[in-house]
Amino acid sequence: MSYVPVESLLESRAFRRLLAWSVAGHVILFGGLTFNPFQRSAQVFTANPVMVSVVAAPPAPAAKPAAPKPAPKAAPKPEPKPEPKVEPPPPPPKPVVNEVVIPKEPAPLAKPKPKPKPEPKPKTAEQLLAELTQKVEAEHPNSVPDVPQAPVREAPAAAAGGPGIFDPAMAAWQLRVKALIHSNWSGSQICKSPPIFDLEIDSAGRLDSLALATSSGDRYCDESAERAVRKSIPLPPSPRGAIEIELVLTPKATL
Amino acid sequence: MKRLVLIALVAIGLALPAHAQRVRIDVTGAQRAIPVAVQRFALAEPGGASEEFYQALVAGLDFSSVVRHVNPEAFVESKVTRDFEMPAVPCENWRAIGAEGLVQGEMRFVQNKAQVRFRVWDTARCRLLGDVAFRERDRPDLGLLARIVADDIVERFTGRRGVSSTEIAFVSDNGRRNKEIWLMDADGSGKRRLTNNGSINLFPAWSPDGKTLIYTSFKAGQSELFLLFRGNRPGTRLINTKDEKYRGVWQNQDGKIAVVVSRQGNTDIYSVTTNGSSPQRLTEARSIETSPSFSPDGRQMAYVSDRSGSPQIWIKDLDTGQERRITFNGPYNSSPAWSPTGEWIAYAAQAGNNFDLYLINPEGTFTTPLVTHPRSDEDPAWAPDGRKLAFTSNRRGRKEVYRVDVDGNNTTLLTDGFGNSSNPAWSRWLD
Repeated sequence: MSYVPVESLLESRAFRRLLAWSVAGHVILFGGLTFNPFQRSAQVFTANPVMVSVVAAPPAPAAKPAAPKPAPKAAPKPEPKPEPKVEPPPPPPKPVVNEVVIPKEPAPLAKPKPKPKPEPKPKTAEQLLAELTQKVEAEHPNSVPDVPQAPVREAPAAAAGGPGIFDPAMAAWQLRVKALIHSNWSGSQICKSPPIFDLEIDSAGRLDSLALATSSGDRYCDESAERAVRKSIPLPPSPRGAIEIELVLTPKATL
Repeated sequence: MKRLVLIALVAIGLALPAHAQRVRIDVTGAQRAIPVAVQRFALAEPGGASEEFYQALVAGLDFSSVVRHVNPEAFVESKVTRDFEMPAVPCENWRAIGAEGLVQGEMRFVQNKAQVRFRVWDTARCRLLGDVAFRERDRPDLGLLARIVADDIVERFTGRRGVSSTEIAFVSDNGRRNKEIWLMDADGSGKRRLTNNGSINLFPAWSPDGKTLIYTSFKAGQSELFLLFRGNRPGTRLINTKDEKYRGVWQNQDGKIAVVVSRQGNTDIYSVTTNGSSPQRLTEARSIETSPSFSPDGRQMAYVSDRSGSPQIWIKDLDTGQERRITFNGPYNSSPAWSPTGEWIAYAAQAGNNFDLYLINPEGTFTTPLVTHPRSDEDPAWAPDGRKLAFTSNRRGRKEVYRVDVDGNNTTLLTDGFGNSSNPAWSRWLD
């Protein structure tokens, strides 16, 4: 076996072409894996504070970190970073930007300076979602609320409200679906216990399948709930495309 | 190069989700009536009665509080039934106006009878709810026929018949000094007098089949029990003894009647047959026992006893003879009324100088207010579907009869301008 000097190899036209192909191939592979949107969908939001722009939410506590500007941009950057500024809470009637802090995870970026006054405990994603849901239902009991879309971000894989994981786009979508079915459910007062349905929804919000998973024990209650679901189709398209829903329809506490 | 592209594609493919993801959504229902479109029934012959029938029918639906009619001005399809025999209807056009149901029917008159055929669609699922139904009544009873149809429609959607075709008996002085037994439709219309003896008549109570009314009257001097039969059959005195009889209620379908009797100064509850024979003592205590009301199966009796020092609600198991007290709050609880579904006992509870209405479960473990008003509310009486009650209130000064839904909503005055009225007794269905 004989060794060829590098200088002579570089002078070789065939070698230079091969090297160019190799570099180009690596760039394509690296770019494809890095900027592939599907790959990013499996990414989990962990310690980053995330923004929820859903109807009138409770004003953000003054000393919490990272309140971004209220107006969501139409085409945000792929990796929006929270700003370490502390902004005063906006007035309650206007849609405000709220923040969700995942308490177990340390913040990766510089924290804002602590304020002297005692701060309320940060709310978990689950608590905030429950509060928002109550507020939306209270303000829009009989109609589908015009829930503004959360800032356009890539959808994380985990469901909104999952343990320690929050997806604002999914949360907003779930609120819209919930309000829509709520507004279409008539006769729920005949129910004593909740029926549960399994739905398969395609990427356009159309119904692929609907099955009664758990009966309320009352045929007429189950029928009223099924009518509510069918009246609500098509649902707003899910940010994740096709999706399966476990739908629990709980009657209002009646006698 | 091809190999590189292949590797890149495989990497992208692995990143794609293998299947659709699953989320859970919880929806809490609201108190909202089911919207149902009603096409006017097609008349087989011209007669002009369809409009009267239609108005009574939609009023009967709305009366239920569970089903409501959709304004026909919103209809995309015809307001009159045209395709009764067709095997399908354009459900999407009914869904488009928000209707979850559609009622179609046809009507005809045969001699003195009004006959209707109707069917009910679930437009959300686009299927028939049950078969085509047939109903008939005498021609003058067209309004009643419409309410019967409305009650049938409510049953198709909820599993329980509506009560718009039922009646309420009550006591009224109608602005005079005597108190007579009166009858009105469940919506408060069509009041007619049942007794006319110029005396004091009280406590009407219906038989389980809804054909006979028992009431207390002083027309013979002391209080006695009398029966009234539908169809103008004359009333009879029930028990021919010298004991004072305060009140009677039917126990069950066997025709037995529980009677509150004062004998030698001790008031107790007895069970007798309709002709007053075979008396059997149901309560034995030396205290005052009164106001019996029976569970739907007739095996338990709720009543009021002051054996604990104040009037409270007790329940007696008629099979075992065991008695238990179920109310412990308040100094005075009275007028128990067991619901037709068996789930609740309505009663009046003293609050200050007045009474409020409450519901308690037969186990006595859960109590909830039904009607609380600064003035007195008393005498609860259940509708046969268990979704409504009638009661007496003096909230406008004199005693008047009201109606309320079991959730405390839709309180409605039924005896406006009718003097002092009280003691409502809600009938069963007439057919």
